[in-house]
Amino acid sequence: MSTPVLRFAARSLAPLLLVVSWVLLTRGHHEPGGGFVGGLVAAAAVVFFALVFGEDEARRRLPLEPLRLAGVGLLLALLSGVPAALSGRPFLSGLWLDLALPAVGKAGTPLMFDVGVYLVVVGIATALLLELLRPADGPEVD
Amino acid sequence: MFLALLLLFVAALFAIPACRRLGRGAVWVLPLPFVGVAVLLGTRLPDALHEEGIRQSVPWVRGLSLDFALRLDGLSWLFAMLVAVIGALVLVHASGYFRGDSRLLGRFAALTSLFATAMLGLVLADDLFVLFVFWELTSICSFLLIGLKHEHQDARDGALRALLVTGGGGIAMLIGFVLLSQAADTSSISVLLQRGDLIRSSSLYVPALLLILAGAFTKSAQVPFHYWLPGAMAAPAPVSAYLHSATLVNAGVYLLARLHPALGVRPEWHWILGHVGAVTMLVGAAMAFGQRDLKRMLADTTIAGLGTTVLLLGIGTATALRAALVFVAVHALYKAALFMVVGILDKRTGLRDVDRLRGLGRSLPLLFLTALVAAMSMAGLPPLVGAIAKELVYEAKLGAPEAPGVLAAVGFSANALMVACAVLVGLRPFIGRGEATRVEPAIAPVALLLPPALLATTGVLLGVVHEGLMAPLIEAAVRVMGAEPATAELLADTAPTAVSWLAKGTLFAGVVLFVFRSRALAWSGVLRRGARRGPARLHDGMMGAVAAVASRVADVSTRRPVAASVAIVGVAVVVITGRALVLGGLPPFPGDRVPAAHEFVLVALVLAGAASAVFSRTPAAAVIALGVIGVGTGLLFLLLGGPDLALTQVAVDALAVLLLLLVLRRTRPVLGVRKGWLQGGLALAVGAGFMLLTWAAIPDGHLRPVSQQLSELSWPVAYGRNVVNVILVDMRALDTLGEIVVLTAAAIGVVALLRGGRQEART
Repeated sequence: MSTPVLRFAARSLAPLLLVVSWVLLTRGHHEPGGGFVGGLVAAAAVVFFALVFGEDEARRRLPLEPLRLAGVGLLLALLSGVPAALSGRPFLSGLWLDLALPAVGKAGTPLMFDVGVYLVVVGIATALLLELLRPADGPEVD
Repeated sequence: MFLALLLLFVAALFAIPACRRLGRGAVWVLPLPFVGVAVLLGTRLPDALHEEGIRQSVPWVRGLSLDFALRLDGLSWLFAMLVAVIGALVLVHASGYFRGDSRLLGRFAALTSLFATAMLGLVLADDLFVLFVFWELTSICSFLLIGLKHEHQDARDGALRALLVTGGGGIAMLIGFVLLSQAADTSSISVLLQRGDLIRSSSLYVPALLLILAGAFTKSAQVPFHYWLPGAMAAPAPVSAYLHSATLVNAGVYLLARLHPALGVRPEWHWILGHVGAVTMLVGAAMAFGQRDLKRMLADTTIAGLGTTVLLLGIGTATALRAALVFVAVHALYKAALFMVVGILDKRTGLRDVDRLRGLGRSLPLLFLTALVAAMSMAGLPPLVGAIAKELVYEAKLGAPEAPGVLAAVGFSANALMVACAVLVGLRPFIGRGEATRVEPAIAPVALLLPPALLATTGVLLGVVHEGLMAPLIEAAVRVMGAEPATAELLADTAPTAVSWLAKGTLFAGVVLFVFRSRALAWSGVLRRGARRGPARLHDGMMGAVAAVASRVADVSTRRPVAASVAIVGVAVVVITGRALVLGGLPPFPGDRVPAAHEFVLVALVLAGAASAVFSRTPAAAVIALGVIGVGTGLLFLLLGGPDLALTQVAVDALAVLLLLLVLRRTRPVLGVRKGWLQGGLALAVGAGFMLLTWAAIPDGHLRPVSQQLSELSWPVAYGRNVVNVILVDMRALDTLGEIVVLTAAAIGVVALLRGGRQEART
């Protein structure tokens, strides 16, 4: 599945989708969006790329192996509960800082948690889909 | 004390990168946190021995008035010090043992540090439930450590068996803790220990005792739960030197010692602990004597040692408690040393068979010396500290309020067998001439040999100056356990003649057993095999039965076509909930809004998608038609004011269609679905049922929906305007955390299945 049009589309749309996914993630606290949807869109970007350029190439472009990405996400989500616990509040209480970070917006532990969710969703969705996209030895139906 | 826990935990986090970065230099860094904990404990010793020791706590779960409370007194100091000191030495030893494989060393060091954190928390805990959490953590760490070389089948089996036995015991123990904390009206151990009379007069005493003993006995490998320990010998030698000598297996013993003032004076306690301990002692010693594999022999003698300790705790006199604690310390020192010695032998010769190792004293003189000194402590030869332990144990048994003669006789037999084992481990492989055993050149002799040598030397040192170094600590610990020692000295200047004759007789009998080993073995073979294999067989049989039942259930529930399963589930849901609807009646239809024209268009689109899914000829076409339904539904959500829902619906649908197509490509499904009137009618009925359910679930006004409350709270409490997201990441963040954990675990499973199938297809 690799025509010039598709190649062009994948090369230009995949990064765009990734940006969109990040926007969805960061605006999620006030407007529709959030880590889950953002993660799905990002996974769609990766899989689209993989459909055109092959699963190998897509894996090479990922910063980490997909399941490890999910692991990092879990760790982030878990750690986002620690500041609250250390300051005597229940684990995972939301704490906000009074400063805005570039490309992220207002910083706080719920956002960190959401980034964790985002990474988990990206990780497992791409892990499953890329695994299925791997050239199979089994029966193929075209 | 919190600092000590934190130190080890941080060490666990950084162990793997440290090993990768430092390579051989890791040997200097890995033990440092343990040394730090030991120093910390050393500086707190005077305070710990004073009265009730040091107590610290922070609130943990306010709603249950549960505190994260720690307590350092004589008893916990002794066990904590063993964790720290032997941990440091084991890490030095391991960095020699795993030389050249920094990945394995890193994993070992990280898990060992994590295990040490758990073990330290366990002995310091001053609350039943804090103790339980650390207890479970030690079980999990032990599972991972036994299975360190997870490519080997026996390592995985041994690890799983240990986890099932100790984990099952842990669950029983948790229930016991709940009962105990109800009987005492507190979960704080310090408070609970002062309410012994209240607990002993409670009707909950017996069930609580039995359940807690189940936990302690499984962890400390008492008969009939002893069989997991020999299986755990699939672990590398450094793991056994740490877990199976001084720490993990001592957890149960520690728990019994800790709770002695609360649970310990009723006859049930004496009876159960006395019998189980005595049987375990004898069975362990007999099993050990019959082993050819040196490492398994050590594991069996550990079982015997744990039995001895439990028996002493069951006797419960001040002398017996003192003997138990001295024995725990002594046993930890010599057993850790001997495990390391056997590890080195294994590494240098590739053999652990006592009947084949001969004459190694000439090529490995320093190892011989170390083994000999450690084994002398095991046999109880003066001037080693083991001799003191042995005399104390005999003194305690002879001073037992019930059946001192029987106890002394059983103890004599077990000890004689232990002496024979000590000779087999510490002397036999190093002397004599026989077939020449090839000795590989040493890889890291100092790192390997220094730790066991230090442990053996400590045994000599404590044996010589035991009164000054050990007596105050043991006395304080015994006092915490609710007994008042008669004298401050460990040993009276003149031991009763019976004790010293028993001690000498044991040595003699042990040597005789060693000399006539083959004859004794032939004579007692059946008994020993029964003890070794019986319970293990039972365990494997039970596990096999569980697996068989599970696969039957899976067979029955999956052998029919998917369509039939779907129909069964759908009909069941509709019938069960439909009954409630019929009984309760439907609420009036909510709202009287006339749908707009474009909404009709979207509904038509969804219906068209459904129809083409039903009538499409290939599965792929059906999947794509399902996608149309998804998009149409998403658009409806959007128009009806649920943008979050719409976004998610569309995104999920896009990926789901792709996923289904990819699965279809792989599996060549059999579309055995008949599309007759029956199937159509069933589908329509289920659909209608679900519609009615939705209708019934719409709030009709006299209940305030929780969503309204959450929307009102969203901005003032969580500073977010998107209530859906606020619920997910803030108000119900713990739920979400649980969900993503499950999701990740499921994904790992699916990927493993997909890859597993692939490998099978290739071979």
